[in-house]
Amino acid sequence: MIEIKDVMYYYKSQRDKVILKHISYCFEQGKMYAVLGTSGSGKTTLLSLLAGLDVPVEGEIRVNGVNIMQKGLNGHRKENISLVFQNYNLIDYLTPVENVRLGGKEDAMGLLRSMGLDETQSRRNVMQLSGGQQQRVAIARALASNAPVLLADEPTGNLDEDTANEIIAIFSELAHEKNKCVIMVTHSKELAQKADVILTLKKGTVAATEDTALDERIRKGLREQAEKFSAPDDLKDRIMSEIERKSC
Amino acid sequence: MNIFGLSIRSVLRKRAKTILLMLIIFITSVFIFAGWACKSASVQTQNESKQAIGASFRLEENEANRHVRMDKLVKQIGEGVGGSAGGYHTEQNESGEWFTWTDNDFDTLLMEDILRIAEVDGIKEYNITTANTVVNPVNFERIEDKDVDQNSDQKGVSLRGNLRMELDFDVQKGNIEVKEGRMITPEDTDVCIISREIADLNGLQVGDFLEFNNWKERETSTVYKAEVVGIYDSISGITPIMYGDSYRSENIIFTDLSFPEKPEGNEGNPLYQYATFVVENVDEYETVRKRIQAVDIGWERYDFLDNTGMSDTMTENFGELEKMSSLILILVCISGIIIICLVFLFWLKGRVHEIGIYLSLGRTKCGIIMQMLLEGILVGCVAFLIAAAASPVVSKGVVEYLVDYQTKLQAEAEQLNAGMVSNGVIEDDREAEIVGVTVEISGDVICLSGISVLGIIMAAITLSCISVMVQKPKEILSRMS
Repeated sequence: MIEIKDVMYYYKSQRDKVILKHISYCFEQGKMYAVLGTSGSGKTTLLSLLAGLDVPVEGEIRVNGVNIMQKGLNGHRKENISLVFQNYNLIDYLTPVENVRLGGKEDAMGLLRSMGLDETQSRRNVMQLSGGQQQRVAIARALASNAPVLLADEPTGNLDEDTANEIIAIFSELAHEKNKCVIMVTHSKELAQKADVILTLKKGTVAATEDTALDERIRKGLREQAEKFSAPDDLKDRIMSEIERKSC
Repeated sequence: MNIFGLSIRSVLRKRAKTILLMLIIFITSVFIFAGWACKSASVQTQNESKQAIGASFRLEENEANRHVRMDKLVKQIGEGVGGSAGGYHTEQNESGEWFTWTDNDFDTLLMEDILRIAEVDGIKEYNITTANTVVNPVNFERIEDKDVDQNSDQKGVSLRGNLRMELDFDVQKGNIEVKEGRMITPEDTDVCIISREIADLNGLQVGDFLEFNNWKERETSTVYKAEVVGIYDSISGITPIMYGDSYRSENIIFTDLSFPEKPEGNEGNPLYQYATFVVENVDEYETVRKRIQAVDIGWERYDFLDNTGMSDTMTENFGELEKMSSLILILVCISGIIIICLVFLFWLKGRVHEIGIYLSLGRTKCGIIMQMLLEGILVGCVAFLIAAAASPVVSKGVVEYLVDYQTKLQAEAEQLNAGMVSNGVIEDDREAEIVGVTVEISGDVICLSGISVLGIIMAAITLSCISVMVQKPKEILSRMS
């Protein structure tokens, strides 16, 4: 779907400090990705490059096999990408409905309703909404463009745990039911665990990838096998807890 | 949502910023209006000053036509034949020499023509001035230069008749001033106004009677009396029309219109040299001129002129006004661009967040700047309309201030120049009085002001948006957090 190919990035003023070192990866549709990493690991830069907000020094980014530079970065952002930020980034003088309409021609009211906002909330000033509601408006706006890739930069950073879980659930739903490619940058390992794939960046390289969905499938299989295994109960329990604890 | 919708919402919902910007554009617009109005008013002021002094026309005899008429009369009388026709006379004396002369009938402006012009709509009043007529002073002495041989002089004084003395050329110019008594009015008969010098020389006072007769027949011609109703002081002197003491400034005696012809021996046959027509409304100067020129009289006989030659002087004096208004315009435009640019720069700092969002949504920088421009233009339109309503008052104030300033400068310059005159030559220092300044906010002024304000807004916004244009979207977005 969206592929980064041998991408290198550094600031032209600091050529010796390479942010991303020839990384390659292919993000697929229908999956939710979490990009993990410490500060300065290059996760926000990766997101910027994917969003077409900046261009790599070397390498290329392709969407369905086409280099994004061919269409132009504005066109890429408009057609392929929708962005959700940590601080919601809503236009403060517009109502939620109007903010969503900025995203595209989709039914704004319907999208807001699907995000759990009623009509009254949708028509008041966007700054009068709670943080969670504002993030829902931001997601609704991202969906309005009907872009295949949704990029989220710390989308739950300003939210409480319950709301954060709700937002992640929405992302998961978008990936699995609406067949979007959701790429989320986060610090939280706990939230990252809810993604299908976790990409861990370390010093500008992809240090590890973890297919949590695959793990889950393997665990499920192991559990089934363990159930069938004739052994004392205490041994079975030990095997089961070992299956849950260990990652594949 | 399109750019227009966003702009309208931004303008209406961010009221504090909108009002601030509107105020700045309003002030800038008002001054630009004043500048353009000033430029057009400066031309008007030139015309105005021209009219203030010369808001009248003068009718006088056309010299070329005089010769044409004379040739016609010569033919009418016939070659080698003595006779008279139309005030032209030819006669052969005993020695066989031919003498030709013209009388008042030939040289005078025609009263019927003067009256027809005076009836034109827009003429407030008129004056008729006779030619300076030399007569013999019977019961008083004239001013004489004892060192000059008087044999070639008529040994007389000059009479100048006026219908309304206040409209006399020299009175209007301020060359003389009646300090004692009064001026001559159309109702007066057999009255005169003498110079201070003649009054002092002869011990004359207002109420005394002066006697005059024909200078050619001093002993035999009829003596006519005129009552002294005023004494004038010479301010800068009357320019003599001919050489000799009969025509010198102090010996010019102003009389009622019909008096000079009497002692000259031409009673009932006056010699009107000038007719002056005062325009009622200075703004209609050109219209009245056209109306007068449309009057069906024998125009070939006359020269029809602006009453004075001072117009050009005034025009030159106020030429600076146009330069000053241009300077004001340039200063206002530059300061307007700088102020609005700074305001927008300040404003843009607060809008980085918004710009970042638009960029993340795939909008182009040009589109974003277009929105800013549209917002500026929307606010500018409202501010401009308010400024247009307020501009007549402000523009008038500015123009009047400039005119006043210019007049003071001119007065100071004149004072300096006055101190420097030492060669005995009397300078023709006519005092200019501005009767008023009309500032019209015409369609042209509105158009020019509108274009200027639009240009300022566009230049200021474009300049302030350079900071956005040169930044990468990522840099803008990084400034958001």
